[in-house]
Amino acid sequence: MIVDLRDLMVKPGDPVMPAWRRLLDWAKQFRLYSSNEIRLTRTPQGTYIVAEPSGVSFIHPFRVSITSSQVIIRPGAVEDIYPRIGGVAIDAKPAPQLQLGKPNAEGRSWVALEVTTKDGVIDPEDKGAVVIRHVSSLARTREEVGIQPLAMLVWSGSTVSEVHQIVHHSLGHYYVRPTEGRGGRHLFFAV
Amino acid sequence: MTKIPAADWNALIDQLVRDQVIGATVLERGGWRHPWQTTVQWDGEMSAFAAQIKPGFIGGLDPIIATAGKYAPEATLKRLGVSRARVRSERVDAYLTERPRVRLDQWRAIGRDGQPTSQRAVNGRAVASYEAAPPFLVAQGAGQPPQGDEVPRSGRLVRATEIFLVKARFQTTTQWTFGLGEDGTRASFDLAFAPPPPGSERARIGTERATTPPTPPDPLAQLLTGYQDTGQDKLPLATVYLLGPESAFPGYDIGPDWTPHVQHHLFYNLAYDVSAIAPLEIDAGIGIPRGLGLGVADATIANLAGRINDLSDQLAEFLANNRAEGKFWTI
Repeated sequence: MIVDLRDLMVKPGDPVMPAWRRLLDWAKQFRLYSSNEIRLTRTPQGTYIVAEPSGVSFIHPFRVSITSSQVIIRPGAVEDIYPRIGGVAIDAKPAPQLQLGKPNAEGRSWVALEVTTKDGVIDPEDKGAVVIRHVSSLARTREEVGIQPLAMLVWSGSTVSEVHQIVHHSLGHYYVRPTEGRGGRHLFFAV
Repeated sequence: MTKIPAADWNALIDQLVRDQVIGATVLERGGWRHPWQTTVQWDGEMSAFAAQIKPGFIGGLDPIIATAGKYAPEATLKRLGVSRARVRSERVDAYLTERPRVRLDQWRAIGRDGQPTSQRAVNGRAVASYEAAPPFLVAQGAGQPPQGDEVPRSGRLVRATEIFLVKARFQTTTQWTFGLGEDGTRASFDLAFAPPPPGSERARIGTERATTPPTPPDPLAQLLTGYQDTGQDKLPLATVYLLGPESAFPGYDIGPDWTPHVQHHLFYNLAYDVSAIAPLEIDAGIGIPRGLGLGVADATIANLAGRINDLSDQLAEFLANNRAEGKFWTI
């Protein structure tokens, strides 16, 4: 890249083409590129820039973030019950750590809430009734188990490259009993 | 070559002019960006306005956007294991988390040069109704639609397009079966539920010129054999408006000098469930004596009509209670 503009200058008798190529190289650096935070409106007269830097973050229940060494899940409740990880409630201090497994074939996995019901309701005394797991599929394993993904993880090779939040609220849960030809359904909703 | 072609020279000048910054705005409140937040800008590669949507989720999955292979994100090509050259002229399904661009090219004119949306007769005269530009564009100089015979001559032009979500589900179909019962010929009204096509777990994002609300089922048609509902549920995601430059006149082409504005209709991720799915090919079991053929001798026409109306009401109620219908809600 040309740093000193005097490199663009020519003397009488210099060949024009090398100077022309240097001029083209110099002009390339003025290309404007948009991004998630920079919007460009191009017009025949020039380009107008609108910058919207991401600033304030939304601190909400079940917010999932991942650092190089740990998964952080902010406390959130299901039917007023705090989920557990490895038997420890997520509002405990220190917060329990979620171990990540592997993604699916498309390089995706989920941090998911899993509730287990008895006769269609969550037993608040059962310490295993509401848990958070890392799963590579959203398929249910048993009729009495309901799964609600909290965040989708997008993997690049063996590391998580992006976290996409799915749930932004504490949740309610409602079990729809099975009918002829259709299994029971676990419905989660924002409260 | 010792000459610089005029075209190359002019291309350089053109590029320098276009990349010349004529103004900038830094928005102070770079706040939280919600799911489905849509950013629209002129896309030089597509030669059209294009939208990018912050990933949102339905049932824990990000929707699909069908895009031309030549514009597909690298992440999509990598996931599908194809090269851009191979799918260049094909459509590929990109996940929203792969950040595909949505080409916006189905615009409707509203406001000053809009087309009538409906017509009604008033005192024997046809009076047209027009879609008005939203107040926040009127505040920026958008022209108002024609009033009566008066066509406005000033005001900035406005174009609009719709971005929507659609989720495939079980499709309800109706069927009559005729056979012999104990008391003679009987008719049976059956409901069947056809499963959605494979690969329909994810919702899809599409664009359309104007919102087309779902057509309410025809009460007569749905009682006939072979009636099918749409088999999908639709939700508006955003309306994109373009505000024309001050100098634009009716017929002025959309280009980078138009200013985009987005009106969002969704702000949170969603859950989805279908209200009723009976077993496939279930026999709903409503038996109907076919009175007109064999029973006409022992019933008056008025009696028959009454019975048929009662049965029709029963069938309509049965359909309303058993039709597969999806619901979305915030999660």
